[in-house]
Amino acid sequence: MAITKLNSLAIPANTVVAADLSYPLTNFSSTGIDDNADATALTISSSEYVGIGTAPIVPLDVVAKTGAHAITMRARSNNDYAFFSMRSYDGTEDLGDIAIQRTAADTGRMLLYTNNGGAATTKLTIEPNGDIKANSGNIVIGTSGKGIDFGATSDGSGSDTSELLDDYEEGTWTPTLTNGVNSISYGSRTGHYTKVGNLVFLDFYIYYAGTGSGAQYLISGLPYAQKNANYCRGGGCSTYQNYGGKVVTFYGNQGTSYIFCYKDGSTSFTSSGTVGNYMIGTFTYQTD
Amino acid sequence: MSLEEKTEEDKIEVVGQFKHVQVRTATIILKDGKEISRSFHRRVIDPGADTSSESAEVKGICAAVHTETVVNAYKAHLEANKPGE
Repeated sequence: MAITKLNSLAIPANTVVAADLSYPLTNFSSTGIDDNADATALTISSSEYVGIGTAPIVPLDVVAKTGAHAITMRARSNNDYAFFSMRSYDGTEDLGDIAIQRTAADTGRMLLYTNNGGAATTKLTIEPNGDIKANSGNIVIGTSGKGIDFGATSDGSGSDTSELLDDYEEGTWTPTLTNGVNSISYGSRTGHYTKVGNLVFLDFYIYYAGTGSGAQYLISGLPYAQKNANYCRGGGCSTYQNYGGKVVTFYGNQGTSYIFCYKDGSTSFTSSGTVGNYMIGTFTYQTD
Repeated sequence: MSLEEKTEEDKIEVVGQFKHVQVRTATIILKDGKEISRSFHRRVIDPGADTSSESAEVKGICAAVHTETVVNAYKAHLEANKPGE
């Protein structure tokens, strides 16, 4: 359709140096836009959505064409950053950013920023070599049973059953002598544990008084039940104990929450008469 | 500035063939209502153990999982796994 009427045309003198205007516009250039497309590249829909390479279905919709890259952001200068910024509705708050920093030729570091009051700061960095650094804050495993998978390392000589590190915890427990001493009272007793994966390391300190019953000492109150598997017993020994002049060895019982006390290898550790003694030691075992 | 300490059973787990109930008690320190410290204490409740001093939640879980069958199986397990002299 030919243009038959122009309501207004006000182009200041010398603004347009060269122009080729026809309808529809197939080619034009201006100070800010240079259109050399030979097909539709940019679409603005009736919903005011903008599509690049596609009819848009969201406010800004970009589809990759011959290459996989749909959007490229460049640093403003060498060894500088390219930022993708996400802000609050009114645009005044910089809530989060993704940045790439060029550190050398063909070398880039990715940084993730979040805002915890004030300005967004780097929280996570992926170094050019793939190392991941939590700049501040912890790495939190949000799903029980998930963790760090070391499956890429097949360096054990035994039979691997798991290469997933899925737990770590520190805390306290209350060691209790549930056998071997009658009318027991405690001057003090405390225990600490550290659990890494399915391995639990305990230390404990018991100062007790009572009357030895002649029965084998049991220490109960473990923070986790022991693994219920045949021949899985754990082990440990006293580091200080002052009854009978013997080192006490600790022997676990699969599928329970207590350990047996021995002396001289396989002789039950017992006491008799009035006792008031220390039982201090360590014990290591596995859990299910 | 206000400091407050509170405890809660923040993790209750039922584990293994004998349904041991593992209870973790967290001691939480709050400063002006914001948590600044959390430490843990753990214990295990064996099948058949006395739960009268436990919280209602733990009692309920123990009652549900420590059935007569489980308690008897655990007793048999202890008997079978007594270490010799």
